[in-house]
Amino acid sequence: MMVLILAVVLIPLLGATINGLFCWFTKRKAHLIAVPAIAIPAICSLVLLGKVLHGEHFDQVLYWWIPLGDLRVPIGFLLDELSAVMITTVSFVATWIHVYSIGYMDHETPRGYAKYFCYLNLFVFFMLTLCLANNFLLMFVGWEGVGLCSYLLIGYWYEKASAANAGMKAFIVNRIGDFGFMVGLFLIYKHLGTLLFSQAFAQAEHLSVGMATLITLLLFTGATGKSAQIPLYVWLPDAMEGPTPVSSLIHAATMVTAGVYMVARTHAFFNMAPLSMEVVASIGVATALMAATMALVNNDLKRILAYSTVSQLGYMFVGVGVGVYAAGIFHLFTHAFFKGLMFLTAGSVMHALHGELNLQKMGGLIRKMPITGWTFVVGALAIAGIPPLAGFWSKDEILAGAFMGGHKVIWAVGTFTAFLTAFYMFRLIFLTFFGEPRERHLYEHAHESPPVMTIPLIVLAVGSALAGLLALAPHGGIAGFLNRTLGEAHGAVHHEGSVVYVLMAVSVAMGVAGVALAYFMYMRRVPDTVALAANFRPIYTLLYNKYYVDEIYFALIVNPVVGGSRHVLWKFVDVVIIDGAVNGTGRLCRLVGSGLRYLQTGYIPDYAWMILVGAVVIYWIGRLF
Amino acid sequence: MVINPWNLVFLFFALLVLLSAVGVVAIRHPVYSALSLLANLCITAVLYLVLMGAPFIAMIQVIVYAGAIMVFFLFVIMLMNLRKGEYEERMVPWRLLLGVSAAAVFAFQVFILAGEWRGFLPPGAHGFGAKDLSHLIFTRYILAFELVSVLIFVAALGAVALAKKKL
Amino acid sequence: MGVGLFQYTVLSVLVFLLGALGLMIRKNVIVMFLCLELMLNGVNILFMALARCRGSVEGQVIVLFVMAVAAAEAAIGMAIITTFYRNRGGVGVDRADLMKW
Repeated sequence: MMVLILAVVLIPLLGATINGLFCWFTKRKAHLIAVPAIAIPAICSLVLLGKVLHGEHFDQVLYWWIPLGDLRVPIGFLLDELSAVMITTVSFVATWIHVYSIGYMDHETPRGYAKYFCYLNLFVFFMLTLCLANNFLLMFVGWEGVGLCSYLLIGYWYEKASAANAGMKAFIVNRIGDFGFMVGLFLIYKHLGTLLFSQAFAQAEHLSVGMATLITLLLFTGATGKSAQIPLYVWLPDAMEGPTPVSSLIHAATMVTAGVYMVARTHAFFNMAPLSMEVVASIGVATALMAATMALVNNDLKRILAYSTVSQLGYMFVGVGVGVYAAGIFHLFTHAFFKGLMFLTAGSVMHALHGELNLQKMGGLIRKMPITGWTFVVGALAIAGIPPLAGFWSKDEILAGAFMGGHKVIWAVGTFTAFLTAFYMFRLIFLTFFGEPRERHLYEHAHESPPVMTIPLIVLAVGSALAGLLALAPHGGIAGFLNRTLGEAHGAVHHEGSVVYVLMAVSVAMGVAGVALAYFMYMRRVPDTVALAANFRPIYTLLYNKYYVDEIYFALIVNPVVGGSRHVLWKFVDVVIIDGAVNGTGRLCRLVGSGLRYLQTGYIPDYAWMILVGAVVIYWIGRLF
Repeated sequence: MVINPWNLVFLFFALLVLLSAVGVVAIRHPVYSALSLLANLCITAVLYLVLMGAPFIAMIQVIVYAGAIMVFFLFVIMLMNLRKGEYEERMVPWRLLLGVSAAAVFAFQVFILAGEWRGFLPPGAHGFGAKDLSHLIFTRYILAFELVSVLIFVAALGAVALAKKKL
Repeated sequence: MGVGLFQYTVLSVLVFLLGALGLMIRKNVIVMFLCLELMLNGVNILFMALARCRGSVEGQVIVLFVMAVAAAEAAIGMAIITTFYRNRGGVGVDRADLMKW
């Protein structure tokens, strides 16, 4: 078992190392290293999942990394139901994204190609470390590592200023969240004296409620950064500057799910702090609604998908926030399939249209690229919550959990968001793939992508369609499986038959209503969208400008920091104080030197004399003091 | 009070050592100065041999120091063949004064320090010979010994590099 | 009362200081170099005396090393002096004044 776990973690690192150090050698063949380096761990993690299914667990320290008195931090791995599901999802989806990248990154320079695969493997390595760590610090290593790799990959085309800036934005925003996470770790260590999961969770009940609330809120701050929740979600839409498979990787498998995983992993703390749970659920649902509304009017193919990720992550936080951790992780699992799929199809569209992303210039593409189009439809149906596709099952479990837990408002908002989700997704589909082509020459040049790109699409489409059926597996389905680790849902969901079916019916109705509305608005043009936008101009403008959040952040945070840096730190502190001190030191030295240099007679006997006098003086100094 | 004959021997040679040392400093002509140093080294060697029981060191002092090194010095001095005007010596009185006073203070403090030492040196020629030295050199000081050999080698190379007009 | 460590120390320090004095007041670099050797010899006397006093042979070993280093030093020193003489046209130490303020 240990060999398998080490294989899962280390093989991607090995792949990254080979492609990183020998990019001058691997060049165009980089994928021959990179794809097996992630496919083998995928197979290994499937085997591990099988073992965990039979009740085997693994929690072992391999090596004491920081043995410092009381602070003892190991490199150690923990494999239970939660991490098994995570690594399987991550490595499986990542494998197909790697395969897809072979076709997508075809036009890159040979070195850039190797560099790309190096980063991709490294990304997966850090995510798997994060999922398998058995202590907070190793988890933090993975946590920071995925932050680093996202920075590298978002800024992959760093010659483009917007890409470089987006990379920096992602890095800095993540750093704000990481600060909270780190302070949380310090508090855990201070109050529990250990960073090992097993020991920390066993002692969780010794924490006072106030301290547990503080710790969990700080941890959740980290999660908002990494998983793009209010108020730190702003980096994710900009992250679209990276290559599309990277977006897919960030959204589906590696990066943004880390926050949800972390909250589920530390559920022992969250269970202690009801207030934190409320905060998590509220922020989750607010993010879900806000991101969904922003997606309604956007015209950028990838950005709509990005907002939909933010929105879906909001759902996951609702799930973990209302105490149905398993449902949150289940949604993470299904989301990995359909969001990975949708980003890859978006990449396929971009590939066909030479980087065009504006929905208003597309249309009718399904006739040119049927595989891409239909797989996208599968993904969209899944996210819209149409049974029996994946999204229906997981989203329904979250909403049911919220309703049963007494969070009626959260349930209502969540259900409304489900309607919005179905609407904007099918708006996207109808504008892109159906109707008449609006830009003739783009349409003429469109073509279906090569098999190396379409096969991953098909695989993931099948996954999106079928993954949800795991909810029907024996012994309580995937939720029952996860609950072996996560404990019976906090504020447990008792399935009161009829209510559950009513809830299901409501959410399905919402999904269907969203699809139908999109159909009428964008295929039949009733009511007319242009007129609608004109009538609700203030709202439309507000949504179109993303609630001006970026502008507000700029006005409140970035500009004061830049201005303060320029006028106070640079013009005053740097120029006057620091430069003054440095130049003053120099001037002082020159002054002293111009006096002292007369000691330097350049006459050796004088030096001999000084040595002797020095010996005498040192002797008397030693004697007197 | 019986005068220990060894004390007279020590006194005699010590005075000779000091005298020759003064000669090194005071004699103006470099050749004579060097000869005075030669005498100084030889007398010290006698001191080692007769009073301190160190025949091997005395031998080395005469052969290597007085023999080889000093001859080398004399050779260089004579090679330069300085004439009377070229010694470039113009004694500056205040320099002499400063030098003597610094030396006097230094000597004073060392004498104070050494006045408390009550060590006694058994006079006579019996002591340690080449066997004892070589035993120590080739066991405990082997590293230092090898390093010194490297040092001498490098010094030889350096001397060639420095003195040669054109490399 | 025989000859003690004190007497030897006085002898050694006087030889050492005579060498140092020569270094301080002479201008001829060759003579300064001779004075340097004189200082080394003064130190050697002290080492020998201490070795004798303690009945150990290690002081003699140190003396041997001092001699070896002195030999190396003499070789380099003489090379420097000949070069100096060639380049500066004399042996006066005041001719080396590049480092003067």
